[in-house]
Amino acid sequence: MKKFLIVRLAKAAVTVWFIVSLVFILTRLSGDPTDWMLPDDASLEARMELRESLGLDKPVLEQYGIYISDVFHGDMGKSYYYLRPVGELFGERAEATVKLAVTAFSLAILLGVPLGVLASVYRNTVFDRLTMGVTIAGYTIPNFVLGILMIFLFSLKLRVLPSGGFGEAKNYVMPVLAMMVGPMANIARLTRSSMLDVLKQDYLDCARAKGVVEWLVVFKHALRNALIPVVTIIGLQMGTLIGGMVVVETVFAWPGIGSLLISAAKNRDFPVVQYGIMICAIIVCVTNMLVDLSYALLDPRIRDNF
Amino acid sequence: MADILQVKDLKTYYYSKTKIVPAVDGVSFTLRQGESIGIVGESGCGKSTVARTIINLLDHSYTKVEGGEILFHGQDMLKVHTKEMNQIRGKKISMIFQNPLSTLNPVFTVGDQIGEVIRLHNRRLSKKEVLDQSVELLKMVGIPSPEARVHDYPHQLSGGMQQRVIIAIALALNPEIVIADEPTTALDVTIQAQILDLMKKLQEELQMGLILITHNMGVVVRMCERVLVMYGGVVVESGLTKDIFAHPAHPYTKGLLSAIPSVHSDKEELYSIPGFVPRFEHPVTQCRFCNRCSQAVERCFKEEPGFYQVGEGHESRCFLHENESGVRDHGE
Repeated sequence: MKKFLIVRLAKAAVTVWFIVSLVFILTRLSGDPTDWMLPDDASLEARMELRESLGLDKPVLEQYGIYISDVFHGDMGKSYYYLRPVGELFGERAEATVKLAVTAFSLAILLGVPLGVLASVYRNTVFDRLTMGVTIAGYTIPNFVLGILMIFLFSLKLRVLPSGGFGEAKNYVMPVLAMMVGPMANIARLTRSSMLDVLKQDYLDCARAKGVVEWLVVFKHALRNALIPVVTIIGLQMGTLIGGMVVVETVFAWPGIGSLLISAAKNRDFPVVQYGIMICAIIVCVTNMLVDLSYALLDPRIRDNF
Repeated sequence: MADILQVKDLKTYYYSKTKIVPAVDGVSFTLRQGESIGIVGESGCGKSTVARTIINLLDHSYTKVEGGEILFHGQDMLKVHTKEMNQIRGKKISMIFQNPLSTLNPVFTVGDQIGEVIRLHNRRLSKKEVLDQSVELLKMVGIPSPEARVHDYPHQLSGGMQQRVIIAIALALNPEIVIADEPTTALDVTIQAQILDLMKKLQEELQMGLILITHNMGVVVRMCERVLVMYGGVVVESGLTKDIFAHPAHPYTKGLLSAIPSVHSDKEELYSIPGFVPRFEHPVTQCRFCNRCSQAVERCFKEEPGFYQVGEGHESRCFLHENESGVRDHGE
């Protein structure tokens, strides 16, 4: 177990390092941030001075060395645009994003898993066909299209929900829906197919023969065995969710990290982009690790191999 | 001894898009308290379906009980509500399954799985009491160091040990009837003997009725007082085990008995009944064995034989025995 954790942490560190480096290179390729930071008619001296003060005049390799060393010292730099430490900027906006993401993700799991279970139990019935039809639609529609369609319908035509803003419950409805539908559909479909395999197993008949009521046979004896692939997909959905967050926050003008990242990318605000991507990479790596650990929790046969 | 289970003219059919398969087509028998009955036959003869119908483990998406009665202490099990059925299952009638490797749930400990049946039917017991009872049961089925094994997961036990756990689950509440569906088929021969001896011992000690489903004639001789030989969804011969072994009447039973390999025989080749079990479609209007029977006459292809008495409590579904005594219909 200890060895497993150490190995996984080391692997995660390498992954994060790789992503951070890639982002560093890509941002440098995107152009010179001083182009828009100064007026068009600024003198070459002023431009050089600004570049020097941001450290952009040094060779790229040296910039990279400084950046990595700063990261190790916990110094994430200052935003070129807001002229404030990036940690502060993210701290202010984290609440909005976390609230949105946690709500959307919890709902996706809490609805997706039972829907999948019920569809498998009532397989080939109208309920099953309907659920599976809706979920196909759910994961084929991109979240930003869904978001825009919802704004069109609920905000412009019916005028029942606000198209943007943050704070009240009604502000959450559309962003949460736009973000959760895809992951929920995926989770429901995978739960269904995983359950269909498990529902054939002899140990369910053994449980029934003991006198266990049917809903417990399904939700206790079968679901626990069907969860491993489901937990895997839940982990993978975390990446999708972060991608979705960036888009959905922009569509709904949500004051979170996603919209900060988009504007930072547009403005070539290198420190903000680098910090944001690093955080996302860490979150995804940690989630994957938790997924692997949960296998052991769910299945004693895997536990023995740790 | 009192009759505890009467199965009367039971019919369970399988439905597919194109046809109706009469998996069980009019089976009748009676089980007395403490008695053991064997149901033997080839794969697909309907023996497992009889068992699953009794304890209501059929998949109703393609099976239907078309007729008959299953009277347990006079109450028709085909008509009881699910709730009542769940109170009978595990407590009064329990089942031992064929493949121990797949019968125990891999994600729960042995103790959890034995404890579950105990707690289901007696909710007032504390966790400690349930655990103690589980340990006692493991001891009863001969599992060494039960205090430690009770916390094991199924994959940590051997096949034979797993089957002992399943027997412990089945016997946990001292049921009146245990249905064992091929309980030793998946085990090594040496383990088979141990498990059978254990079942026999416990069945006699606890005075349970046992319905043993098997394709193995040797197992029947060892375990059962009476036998039903099934073929194509019907019982073709029934009687005391010793009578049937000494004087098999139905050509199919004779074939089955000749197919048991013997160490004393100097024949090179093993005997087998020619052909295979055909898939019958409803309705059947001939003797189901006629295509493979060496003694079949024209009549066998046109008419289904009744159940004829060939001795004291010994009956055969074959026209050969029609004249030995009066006709009896399928039911009792």
